[in-house]
Amino acid sequence: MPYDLNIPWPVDNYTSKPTPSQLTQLKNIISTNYTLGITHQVINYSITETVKIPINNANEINPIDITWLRNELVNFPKLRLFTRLTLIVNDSSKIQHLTKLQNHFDLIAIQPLTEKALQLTITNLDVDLISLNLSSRLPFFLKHKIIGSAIDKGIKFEICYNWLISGAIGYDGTHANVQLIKKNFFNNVLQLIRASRSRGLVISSGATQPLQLRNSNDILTILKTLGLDRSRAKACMTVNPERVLVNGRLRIKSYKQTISVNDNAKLLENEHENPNKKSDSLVYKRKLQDTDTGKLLKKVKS
Amino acid sequence: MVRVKQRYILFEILYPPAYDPKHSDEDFTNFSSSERNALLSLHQTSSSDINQKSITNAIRKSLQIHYGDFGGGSAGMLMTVKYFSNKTSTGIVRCGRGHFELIVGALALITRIEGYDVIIRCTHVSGTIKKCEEYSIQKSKQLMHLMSQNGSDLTSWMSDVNHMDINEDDEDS
Repeated sequence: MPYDLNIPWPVDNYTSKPTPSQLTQLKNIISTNYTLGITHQVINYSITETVKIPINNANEINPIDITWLRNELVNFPKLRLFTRLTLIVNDSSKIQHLTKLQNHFDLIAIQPLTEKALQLTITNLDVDLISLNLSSRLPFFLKHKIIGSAIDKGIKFEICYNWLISGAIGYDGTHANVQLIKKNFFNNVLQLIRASRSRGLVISSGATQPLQLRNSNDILTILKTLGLDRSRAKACMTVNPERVLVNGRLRIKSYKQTISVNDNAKLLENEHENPNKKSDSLVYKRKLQDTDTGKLLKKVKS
Repeated sequence: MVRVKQRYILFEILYPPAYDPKHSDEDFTNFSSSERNALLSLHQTSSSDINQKSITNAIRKSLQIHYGDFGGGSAGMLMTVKYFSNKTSTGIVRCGRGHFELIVGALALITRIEGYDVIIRCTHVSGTIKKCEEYSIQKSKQLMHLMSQNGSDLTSWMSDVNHMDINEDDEDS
């Protein structure tokens, strides 16, 4: 099953709401992606570190109305939608409240802007995905040691191909800026491939228009002409994103990401899930003392 | 005897929904109402502006932009569009075996042909033009059959088309 881990939510702050036409656009992106064969799609809510998150208001932390979207797209029976939070950070040490956010989103991703932030994210933070901004020249050199340690930990790196396909924004192919973006994209992807040895990469669209979506195999072919390892290319579309998603879902539905009571297949099926239950730590991850049996045992012991 | 080996790439042109303030946005809003609508809207017939010549030009241009003189010379000169049908928006490109990946890449990176916004996707790569034709006919038949029935499983068809594996074709040469 192919996955797409990045479909941007049209709004990037808590104060404004998406307009109806933006929402239709989002739905069109999802359904176009679906007809291209991608069933598991993740909607990405991306904010910078300066945006204040309403930590105390549990209902407002996740602005993506996933139940509404699911109802709107009810005619696409195999479609599965998830939510993702991407924090764009300069300094990872400022992120203290990550654990509080984890229950509200299926995936947590970090976009580090500096080398220090990248290093701290890999060593200290519990995230699923690292998404580097591939459109501009990275201010640091990707070292195999750092990237390799992240991949050993199970953190994957994301390649968004929307920079490659600029779409209809007044684009004629000769505009200098567009060419620079593409050059940077190729350079950064090559760096990522080199530093990661083609392991642990995830390809996602990041498309803001239906026009920017492409057949995933074609994108793989383009990356192969760049030098992506052929035997590991397929995993970028299938196995790796699945692992990211399972990893993120386990955070919500398991004890310390190791023990889950539900059977494995249900981890990737969330259409019957109650979003309120998800944020409540007493439902999916309750301890023995909180259950009826546990209380009884406690009574007997005392 | 040794002969020159070729690759035949089967591609189709899809028309994504675009927000257009000048026209009525019926297509735009109804697009995601059902699988059927989405498929029908993407697989439109092409206007007569899009023909073999304009597609060849678009591929050459895209090759030149993305792969430069090197790609344009090594892959683009031998490439020809062998077939294109406006009714089904499907076509077949012939190119040299060593460079078919460049052509697939260039096809995927095209965003616009003759003023129309397009998504081009490659569905099959083969060593003979006949296999491309057979594959195309088979998939279209399946799709038409599924569309004529109510409540059929269109999803598996969609992911089936997507499951082309270029690597397999690469090894049997």
